Amino acid sequence: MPDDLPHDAEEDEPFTVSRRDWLHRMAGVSAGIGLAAAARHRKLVPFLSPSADVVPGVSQWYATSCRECPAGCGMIVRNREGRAVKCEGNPDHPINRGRLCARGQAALQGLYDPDRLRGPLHRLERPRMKARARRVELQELEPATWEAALAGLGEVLAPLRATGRVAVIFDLQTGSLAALIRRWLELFGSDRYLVYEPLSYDGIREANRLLFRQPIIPVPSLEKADFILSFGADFLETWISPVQFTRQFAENRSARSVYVGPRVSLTAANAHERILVRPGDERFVALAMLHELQGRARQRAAHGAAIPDLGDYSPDRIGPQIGVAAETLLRLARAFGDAASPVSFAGDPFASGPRAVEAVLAANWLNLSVGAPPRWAEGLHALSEAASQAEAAAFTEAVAAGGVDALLVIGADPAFSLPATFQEAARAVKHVVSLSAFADNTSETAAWLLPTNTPLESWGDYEPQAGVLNTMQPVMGPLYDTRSAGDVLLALARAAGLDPQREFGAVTYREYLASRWRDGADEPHEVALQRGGRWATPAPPSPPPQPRGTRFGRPAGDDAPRLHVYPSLSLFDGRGANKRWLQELPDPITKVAWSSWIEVHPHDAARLGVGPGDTVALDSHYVAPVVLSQGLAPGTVAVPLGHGHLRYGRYDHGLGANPYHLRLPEPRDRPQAVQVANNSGPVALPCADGSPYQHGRDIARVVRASEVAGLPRPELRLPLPEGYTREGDMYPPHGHADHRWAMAVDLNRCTGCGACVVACYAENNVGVVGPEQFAKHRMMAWIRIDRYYDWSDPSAPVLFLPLMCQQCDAAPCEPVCPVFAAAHSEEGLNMQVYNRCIGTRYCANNCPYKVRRFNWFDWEWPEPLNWQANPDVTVRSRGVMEKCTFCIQRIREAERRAKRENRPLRDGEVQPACVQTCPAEALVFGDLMDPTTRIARIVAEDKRAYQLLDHLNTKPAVFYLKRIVDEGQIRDRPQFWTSKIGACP
Amino acid sequence: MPATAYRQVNEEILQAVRMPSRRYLGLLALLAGGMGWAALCFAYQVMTGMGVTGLNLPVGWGTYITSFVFWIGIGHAGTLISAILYLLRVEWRTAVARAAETMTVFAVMTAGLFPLIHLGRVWVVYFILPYPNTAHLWPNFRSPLVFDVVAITTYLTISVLFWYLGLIPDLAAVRDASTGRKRWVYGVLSVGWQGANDQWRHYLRAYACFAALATPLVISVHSVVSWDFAVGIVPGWHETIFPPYFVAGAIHSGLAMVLTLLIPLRSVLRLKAVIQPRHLEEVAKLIIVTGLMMLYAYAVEPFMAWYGGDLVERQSVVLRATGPYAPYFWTMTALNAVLPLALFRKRVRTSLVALFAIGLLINVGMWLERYVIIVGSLANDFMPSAWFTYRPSWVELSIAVGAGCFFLFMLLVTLRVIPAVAVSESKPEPRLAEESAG
Amino acid sequence: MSEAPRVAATFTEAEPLLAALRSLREAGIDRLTVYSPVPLHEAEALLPRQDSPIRWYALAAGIAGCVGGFALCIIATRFFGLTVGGKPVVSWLPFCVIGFELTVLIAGLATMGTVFLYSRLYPRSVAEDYDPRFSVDTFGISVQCEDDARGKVADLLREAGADEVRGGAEPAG
Repeated sequence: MPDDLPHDAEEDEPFTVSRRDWLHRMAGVSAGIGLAAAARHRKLVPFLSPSADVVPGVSQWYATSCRECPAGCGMIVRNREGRAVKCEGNPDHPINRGRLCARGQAALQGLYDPDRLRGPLHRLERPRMKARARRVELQELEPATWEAALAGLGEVLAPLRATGRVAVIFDLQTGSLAALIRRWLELFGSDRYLVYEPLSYDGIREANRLLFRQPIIPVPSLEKADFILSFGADFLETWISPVQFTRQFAENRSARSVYVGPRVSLTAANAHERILVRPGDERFVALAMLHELQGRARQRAAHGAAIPDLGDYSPDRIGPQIGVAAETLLRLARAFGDAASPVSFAGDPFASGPRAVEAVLAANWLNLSVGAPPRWAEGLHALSEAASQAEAAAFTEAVAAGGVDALLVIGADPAFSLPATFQEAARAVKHVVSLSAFADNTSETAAWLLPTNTPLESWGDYEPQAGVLNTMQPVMGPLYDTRSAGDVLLALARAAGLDPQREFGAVTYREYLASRWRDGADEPHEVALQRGGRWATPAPPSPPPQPRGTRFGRPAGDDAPRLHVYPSLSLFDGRGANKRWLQELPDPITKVAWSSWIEVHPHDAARLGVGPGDTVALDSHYVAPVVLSQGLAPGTVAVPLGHGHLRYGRYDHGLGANPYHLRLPEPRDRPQAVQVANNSGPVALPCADGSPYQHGRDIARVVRASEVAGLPRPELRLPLPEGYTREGDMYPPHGHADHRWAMAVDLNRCTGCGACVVACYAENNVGVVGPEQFAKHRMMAWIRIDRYYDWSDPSAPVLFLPLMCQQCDAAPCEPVCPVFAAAHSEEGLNMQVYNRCIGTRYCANNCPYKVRRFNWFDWEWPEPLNWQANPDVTVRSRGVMEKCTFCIQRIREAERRAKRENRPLRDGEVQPACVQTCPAEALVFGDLMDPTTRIARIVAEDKRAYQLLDHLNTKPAVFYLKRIVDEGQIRDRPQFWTSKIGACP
Repeated sequence: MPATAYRQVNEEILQAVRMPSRRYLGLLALLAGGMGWAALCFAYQVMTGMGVTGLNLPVGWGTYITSFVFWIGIGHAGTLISAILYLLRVEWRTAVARAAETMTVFAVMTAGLFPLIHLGRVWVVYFILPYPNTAHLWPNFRSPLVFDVVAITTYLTISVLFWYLGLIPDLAAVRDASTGRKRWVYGVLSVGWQGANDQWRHYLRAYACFAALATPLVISVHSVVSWDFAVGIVPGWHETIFPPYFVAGAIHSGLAMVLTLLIPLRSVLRLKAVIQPRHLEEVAKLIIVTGLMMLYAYAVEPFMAWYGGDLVERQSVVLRATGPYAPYFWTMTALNAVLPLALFRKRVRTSLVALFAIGLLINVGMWLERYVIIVGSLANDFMPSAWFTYRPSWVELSIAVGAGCFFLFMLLVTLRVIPAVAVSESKPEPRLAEESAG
Repeated sequence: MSEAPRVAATFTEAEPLLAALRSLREAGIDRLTVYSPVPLHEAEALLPRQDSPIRWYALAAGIAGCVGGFALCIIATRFFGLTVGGKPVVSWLPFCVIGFELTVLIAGLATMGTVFLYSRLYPRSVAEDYDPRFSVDTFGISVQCEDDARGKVADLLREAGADEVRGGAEPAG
């Protein structure tokens, strides 16, 4: 076993391998003992005799799998002194290749959630529904020991063996845990289980069943496509495997992308063209295109015969009904048909019914019509295993009908996302057991709350896509008296009088896993653990069988507002709601944080008589403030998922509303009523937006695709001595010692997803300010993503601009500081000395980029969130200024390592947290003084390069590369004078 | 008849130096209460953090710095009157000089509070002082805030010394007019002044030296304060016109404050015979001058923005007049530049009520002017994505009002214990028939 | 210090005082002090020492302050040698402000110091022959002279129109 322990690779041999290999070597296997011992101490106490795997001051990296959404990215977690402090993508992982999204970066906040259950709880008697019941109910929960809990549940379960009166609901699991659960149920003679994911992609599964007799969810590939057509699939933020898609999309930016959907989502914002139609009308766009293409299709494709009759769906007829010009539909159809390798896909994850199914069918038919059947899917996704909404409803009904005496809910929170009928059904069950890390909505009905480990504390495996098996290991010892779900099930089996060794072949879940991993593997399972999994190259799936003919509905003629419910970029389906980093990450389009909202088109708002910030009720129970948006099809109201937990934790308490319940009693497309809730005046939404317009200032710059090649060499004011001229500068140039750090931001790759923002929070101990302070514009993010969008012109490009400290060579912030708290380092960094700062805020006033952040208060770090703090970075106190440092601690670490190994720093060896995680790889960091580095070459060669507000001659060290836009997307008359503020009230 | 005239002057001025009335004490108690409340608010701010203010990103400076600039401005009239008008041998200055100087001293003191109050970490404010320390860290002499520290320290020192120097013969007069402990106190304060010819000779030379030093100083101080803004790159701050514009504005507000204070004070202190309406009218005439300078400055700003051709600068001018701070902008334009034109009419100029009202309104306008410059510029600067508005919180308003209480309190107490008008200067020089050429 | 006995006179008007001064000066008496409630430039003209060195002190202190201000800036910034905003460590332009302010400050302090020194201003009691009326409306002359000259001085003062003359009548024992 000692050989498997992570050891300090850097001490043993010179650094002769790539960073990827180095990380790889650093990725260790949890020994468990040392970590557990270190983690259970609430204070930092030095070990009397240090555990072999914990070296003070040296990071250990453990490879595991991200479980923040079903995408299943590979993750490595940095552990310092027994505490997990930072998540990064596993560089070797085929899905995410070292990158993580915002939610993955925030996984640690689930581990250190201050509202986690810290030990088993027992509800003494069934809660009575009292008038003011909520608080009373919680008080009825009594702490219990695991022994008592297992003994008590053993008594319940023992008589149920082989009766079939036991059921399990669990969140999407593949492999070992799913197998264990099924085997466990078998022992009780039951096969009643529900693999529950709130976002079930019903449309895709059902459409594929209808079309190909396969109820599967495939993973489309954008890699080689030259025309990407999405019907409401927000593949850059939440759809199936967003990090994977973001990378493919960014690498393939020259492919034309078109988004058809009800709202300007992040994906829509990044598309070359957006066609806004009301929810449910996406399919008619596809059908109209198909109508145009069917002639070709019948000739070209082998499936021509099956193509449905599209006589009624000509662009001329459909166009006016859905509010899209027939010419647009024709143009799209021809472009799609003429493309060499087009791909189209659809599948609103939340919608169900004909609206969802027909959209996917139509998109598939489009693919088929251009004769590209094998290209549309290159991997089978684990989401195929999840139950549909209809199955969930059926399960609920079955439970409500009786016949279940014990219901185990593992990981999932169906009471939050299923209709209230679920809660009623659960109340009919005698014994509900909640296996979750949180006292969530579902646990309200549970007699026993058995706290499970979070995924980061668990052994496990997960196979997100066929052929990609992720292994999971604890990245630190358990924080509290919690157990893994697998161990609890094994213990329950034993308590019910079964012999785990005989029935499961293992006594602990870890043994169970090890035995499964050994099967058929030709390497020790520790090797896979260290790597993070076994990733065979997925075999291309066999071509789908002959499609069957399908039928389509007609556009509805009414003009009542239709409802569009979409998963939130940060909170996803709601599971991120108690992670304050995610709550504080503004929505990329509306810039609202910490709150739910209702997006309303100005036309509808005028009809309703509401303005921005007014409170509106949908179906009388979804109550939220209005955000006006022209990035929405008229006749649509859009609400994000994720908010409105009654239970879960402090960070979503009393905030926002829960739109899941809008689909009562069955899925539907529109709210029954949209009404003004009250007229108490507009509320101040926590909104990060200032003015959405550039006011002609050319901040986020664009270039037409046709003009890229002809761009003149940009006139940059380099943050180097050669950047100083006699005409432009009053003072002589100043040099740098060894390095001049600089960054490039490719606006054409950046999608605005916000992963960098959260990574920065995690790396740099950035304070979280909460909704009140956010509403007062006191956010602390060191890197933010500005969004510029001309709301009066829905076709205008939505421009995202990641903005961190520009590390200017002639920084306006520095000379105005009276006490040298802001000064220039020899390596060109703009330093902020917290100890020296007296808090005049002059530097922030004088920063033209507005990237400096002031500590208005001492920000809260409730136990144990403070455990996550990066020990290499100071936690700033109130009254001092702070800002992006280019992750100076990482620069120093790399410099020390290089010095110890007596070699120069290599290009790419230093990666600030934002650069490291960027799923689009839009950020490049390096030494500008060395002409061979990537950054130096970009600055020297890329004609799209420019510096922000360069006329101020601050000589920023961050170089932006212009976004490439369509012809005609650059407005001639920008909003020069308006002081009108955009979507936010 | 110099003898009787001199005695009359003495009596009229010195009668104010006596135990005040109960109403006066009540007013002082009220002001002390305001100071106490502000002190509590400040303690709350220090304990909690600057978040108790309305400040935010991008508006890092608000009510505090506005008040700082405002009070520094108020502190300009005194030195202007005592130094520049002294050098110009302006006769009417005597009646108002002492009160104006006293006002200057306390206005500068009040102003000096605000840079402390606005600091995020006031407990390490000594980092800004140039003193030898083991870390060898000195303040950054390139920062306008260090200019401020040096300039305001200098200005306060020179103002206090100048004020005290002028006060010495008068303190001697109080000493000579009193008995017992009071005589002892004034004896110490008047440092043995006895009006001997040697004393007068050095005294007059020193006074002239001070006047000569204070004249460039008074011009420089508000220029330095204006560099807090002009050195910054914020559109709306970064303007070369700022130094003269600020100096003119400072004198404008200072003179207005002289009117605002002296008109009630001359009756409270029963100095109507010494501080006569014609003196106030002269002040009003100066206000016309400074008001016209403000009008010019207000006109130059948009012109330069247009002429300079810089888009951001142009937009900032337009936003100032149409954006969230437009009401303040138009109010301050009306009060500072248009209202003083009324003083061209003799009837207005000689009406004490009108003068008082105009003085008060100009002060409101000048406070708003700084508010619009500071807050309005920061709220809409280079990055539209970061635009946000600012509104003062109750803590800031409490402290701003409390600082005003401090100023009035100190002024009212001081003018009770020192002669509110220069005694020796109010006595005309003896008219000598023959030797006037000597 | 031991002082020679004094002859003192008071005047309610300035003109007799000037006359007395003139006659005293003609008589070669120059150790005299004039007290007046207001500065009396004409009397100054009649008195032996007419110039005050204070402005030279102010000038010297001003130059020292200016040099010192620049020196402080240069020495202090060079000590740590921090680059800020791309400006060189010794940036002359901003240092001019400090230089100017220190010029005024040091010159002002020197002026105050020297006027206190030369006018002997420090907390003390007034001279014996000082009359409280001198700060109100009365002028006075105090003459320091040998005993034998006192009668003559007193006479001169009376002749010029003094209201009261003290110290001249009785010869000192």
